Amino acid sequence: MPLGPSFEATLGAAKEGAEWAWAALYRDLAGPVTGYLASRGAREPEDLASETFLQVARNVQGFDGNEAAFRSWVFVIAHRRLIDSRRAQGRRPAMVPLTTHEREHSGGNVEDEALDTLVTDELQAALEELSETQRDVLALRIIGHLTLEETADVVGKRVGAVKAAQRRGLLALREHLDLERVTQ
Amino acid sequence: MRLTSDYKGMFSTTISDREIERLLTGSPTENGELSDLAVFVEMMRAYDTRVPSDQAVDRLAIQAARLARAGRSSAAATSGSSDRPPLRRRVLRPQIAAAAVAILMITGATGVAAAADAAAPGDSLYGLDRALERIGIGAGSAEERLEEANQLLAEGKTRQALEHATEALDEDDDEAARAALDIAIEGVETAGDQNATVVQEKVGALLTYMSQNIGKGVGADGREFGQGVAELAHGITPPDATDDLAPIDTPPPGNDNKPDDNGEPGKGNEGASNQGTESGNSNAPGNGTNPGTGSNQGGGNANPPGKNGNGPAPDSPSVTAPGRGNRP
Repeated sequence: MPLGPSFEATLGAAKEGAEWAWAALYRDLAGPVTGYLASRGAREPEDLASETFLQVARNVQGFDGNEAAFRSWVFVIAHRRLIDSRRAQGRRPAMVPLTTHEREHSGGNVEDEALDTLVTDELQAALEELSETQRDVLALRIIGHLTLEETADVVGKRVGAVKAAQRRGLLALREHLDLERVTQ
Repeated sequence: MRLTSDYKGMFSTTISDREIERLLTGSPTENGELSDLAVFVEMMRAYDTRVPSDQAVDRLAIQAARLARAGRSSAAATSGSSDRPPLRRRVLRPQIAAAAVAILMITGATGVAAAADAAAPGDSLYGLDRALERIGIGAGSAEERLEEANQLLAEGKTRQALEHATEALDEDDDEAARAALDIAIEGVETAGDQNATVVQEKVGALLTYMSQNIGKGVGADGREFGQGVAELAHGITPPDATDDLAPIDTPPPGNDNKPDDNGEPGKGNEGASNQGTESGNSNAPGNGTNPGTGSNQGGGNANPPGKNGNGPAPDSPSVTAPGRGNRP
């Protein structure tokens, strides 16, 4: 949920070092940032999200822009952190499964939960078939709520390339997903 | 059942940019053939439901705010405040900031800001000084607080100087130092006007120690600083209790009395000392802080407390001389 009209004042206060402003910014972006990191295989997505924000705080004096620019800047840093941590881990990115607690948000009863598990497993299997760029782009667009242009900024590619990546990614997902197999 | 290649081919040619956009942004799809894909997209979107706990938010906010302030002070390159952890009191609501900015725009900004920046407690512009500091204009550092405290001390307002010094302390990190300063204030009050010079010098040493060491070690434990302050603060005790204490390190130049001569309480000289101090004060504060001379302050207001020639010098003979004369 973007901060909207209050963003400018909040950013100004954040630059001054107001704790309430950082709490507001973090509350707003922690969900998508952590979700993006988790979906892209970060081992400790919460820690990585905190590190991302502390990096944002270190450099915030040099930032100037609107809320959209701020969001994509935060994701640029999260994306870099993710790549660094992947290098450190030295392993192939995999989707980290949602925890039971998180599934409660989208489901409720046991049956739904079981279905969710199946769907998630299926989704993970299908995502494995995508290229890394396709996964990055889809995660940034769907989980990070970034626009086409903002996503292009984060992954360092042209808008046209991002557009192609998201189309191919969705097609590949479509190809490898089988909802009927799950529900039967 | 897997999708047929026919179906895939149809999908790839018929899916429009608009439909892709609707899928990605979570709008209901208008194409029924995409509904199962939409289910997975929504599953993916569920990753965004990770909500941090209030504690996690608070912890992060405190750290981030500190880093932002540190970044700002180094960016602003204010006089020597560089690597010290900034003070909490900077936290302020934006509407107050907006009000102060409005005041600045009306009054013509820099001259007033500079004059206010030089203002010491009790001056008419001091309130504005503090308000501007809170929104980051003018060096609102612990150093400035201590400089102001030094200025008060130079004017003979020893107790006020100590009280003011407490404002340089961090709310959370300098608890020990705060307690120590309270003891020092008590000591000054008990001492009254007897041996004002010695007390003044001890307070001066305490303030110097504070300005040299404040903020150091606060990040790690904050105790070192507090202990240092405590030691110096405990030295500021009533004269009767300091009789047998070691004399202060350096007797003020031009003051011919030996420090240990001050051990004996003066007899009936309190009034005289007091007046000496007060009369010394009365014309001291005006210089360098007067709003009228504000425009000059920005450039040349180097009126460093401690080197301030206006107040009575710490070794002002009027304070202790009578006491010595009356000793039996």
